[in-house]
Amino acid sequence: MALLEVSGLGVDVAGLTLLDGISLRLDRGGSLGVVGESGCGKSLTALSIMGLLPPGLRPRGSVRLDGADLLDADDHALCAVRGRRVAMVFQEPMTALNPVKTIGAQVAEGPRRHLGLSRRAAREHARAVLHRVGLDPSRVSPDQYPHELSGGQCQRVVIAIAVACGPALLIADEPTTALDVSTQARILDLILDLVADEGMALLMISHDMAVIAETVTDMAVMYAGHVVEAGTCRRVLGDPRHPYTRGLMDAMPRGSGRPGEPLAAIPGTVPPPGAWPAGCAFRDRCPRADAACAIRPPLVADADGHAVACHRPFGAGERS
Amino acid sequence: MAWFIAKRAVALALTLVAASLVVFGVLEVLPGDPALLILGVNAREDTLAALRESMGLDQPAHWRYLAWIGGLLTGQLADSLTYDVPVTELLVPRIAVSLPLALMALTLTVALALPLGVLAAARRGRAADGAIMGASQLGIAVPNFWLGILLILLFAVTLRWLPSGGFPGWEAGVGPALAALIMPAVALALPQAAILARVTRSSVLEVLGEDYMRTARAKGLSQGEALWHHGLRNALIPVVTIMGLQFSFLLAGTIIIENVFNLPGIGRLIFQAIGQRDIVVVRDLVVLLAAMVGVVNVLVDLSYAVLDPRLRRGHLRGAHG
Repeated sequence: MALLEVSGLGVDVAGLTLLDGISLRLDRGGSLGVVGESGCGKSLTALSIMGLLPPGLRPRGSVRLDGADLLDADDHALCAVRGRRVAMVFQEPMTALNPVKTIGAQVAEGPRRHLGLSRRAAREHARAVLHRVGLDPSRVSPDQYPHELSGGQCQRVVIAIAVACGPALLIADEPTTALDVSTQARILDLILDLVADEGMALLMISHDMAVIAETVTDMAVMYAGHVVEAGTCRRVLGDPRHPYTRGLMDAMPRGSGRPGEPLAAIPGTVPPPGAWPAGCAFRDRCPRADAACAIRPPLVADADGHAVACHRPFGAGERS
Repeated sequence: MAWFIAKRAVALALTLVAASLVVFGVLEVLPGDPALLILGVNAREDTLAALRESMGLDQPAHWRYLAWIGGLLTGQLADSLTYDVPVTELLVPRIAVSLPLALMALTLTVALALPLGVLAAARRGRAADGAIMGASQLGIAVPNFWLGILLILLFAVTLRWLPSGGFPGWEAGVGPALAALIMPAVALALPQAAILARVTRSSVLEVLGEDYMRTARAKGLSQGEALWHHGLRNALIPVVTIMGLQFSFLLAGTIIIENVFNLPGIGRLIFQAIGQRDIVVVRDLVVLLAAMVGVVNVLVDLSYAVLDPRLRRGHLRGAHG
């Protein structure tokens, strides 16, 4: 049985569909990346799994963790899962922490609740976890407040909060986007290190193909609330079939580009929910689109599990 | 922290000097001769002059100002013009009425506004929210003196549960004294509570949308626990600010309410002193009220530092490293 099995996940708000037909699978100790432009529904997918969608947003489909459907669960049951079985690292470390509580207290809260630790034991545990994520108590005290820390240090605290109770699944939603480049690499290393040490499964969400390529083995590409391509990173990145995936990869700056040469870009922007074209949502921006694309293409996998939702996919090894 | 308090104390002293100058200046230019007021319009000119001299009114203004401030600083307040006793003797028994009244009103305000505001925010858009917001709209619209009259009609005249006014004095026992203060306190508190409940609601709503609330939920805290452990302290800062302002309104409100309920308090004293041109009482009371408001403002600033570690040491420390 897979650790996490998302099938047919959709999210609607006031008659508008934000997310549709999302299916993901993650085994124990496995790693999966979700990539796509801003507004494609990556974070909504993560929040749906956590059961933390903003008020008014309705999920449908199923999100199974250890076989139990989280979308059916009541809040009491979800509270027992959140922080214990599934934990999440957020994008903005500075705002994800409570400004009026010490970092030690914020880390200790989960263990006190989920591990049944006494106040004192939870404090000791928090101290150890903070040390584990690279915040040496002799330099960064658990009694400090978030505003006394740098962005990278705050993200380490957010990670400490997430891993404090040894979850089976760690969701990292753009964990490095708000950080400067040198800090980004150190934070990614820390996450990979923790995931390997604790045997956690990792769901990495990023708009950055390079981050996905470095951190996970499987990936799904999302566009306008749908998965358009999925498979192992080796297959998807090595032999992208969907024109959107190709576009994303061509848009990555490479060392081989000549100075002055403009970077490739996908024409247009992601249409907002409600303005998605009928059929394939990418067809207005797609160079290969034709009449067939007026019907939504299903996500079809080949024998290797490389799935693509496109009527006119690139052939194996075909150059764009 | 000591430096912060010292700075605030100096600012408070300067405020009081300014307030004393303003009230002295205003009373100086207002028409009305205290000697004439005491002796009546038929008094002879030489009698008036003699009285003015004995009251020190023939002295130049700056000398009289300094004499007044000196008296305030040494606790030697001048005699009231109408009661002929030192103002201190007038003040003490009246503070014993007004201070408990203001504290009761403030306690009632907070006790009503905080739970209702939080509840309305937590039940946003539902029936409880609508009911609380509707009631608070009514509370804001109703003037407190009219509310006082309605309370008297209901609880004193119709039901006969509470006295309609007056104050038996603390020597009559705590029970009767509190019974005399409860209606005025409610009349003062309800309109303020209505405002504070709205401030609380909007402040909590803002906090509910903060990222750290989501982090708290992601740890496994329920909505209520996240609000209690993470939201409330953050939401309190604007609420405390408004509470500080409301204290001034409560003091101003006592002037009207003490008249409605015929309570021998500071508000009624200042009202009568103004009517009787008792400038000695008026100026002392104005400075006293200014000092109370100033002290409350310092307390509000101190509470910011208690609530939010970012505001300790009186300035924001930037992130480093």
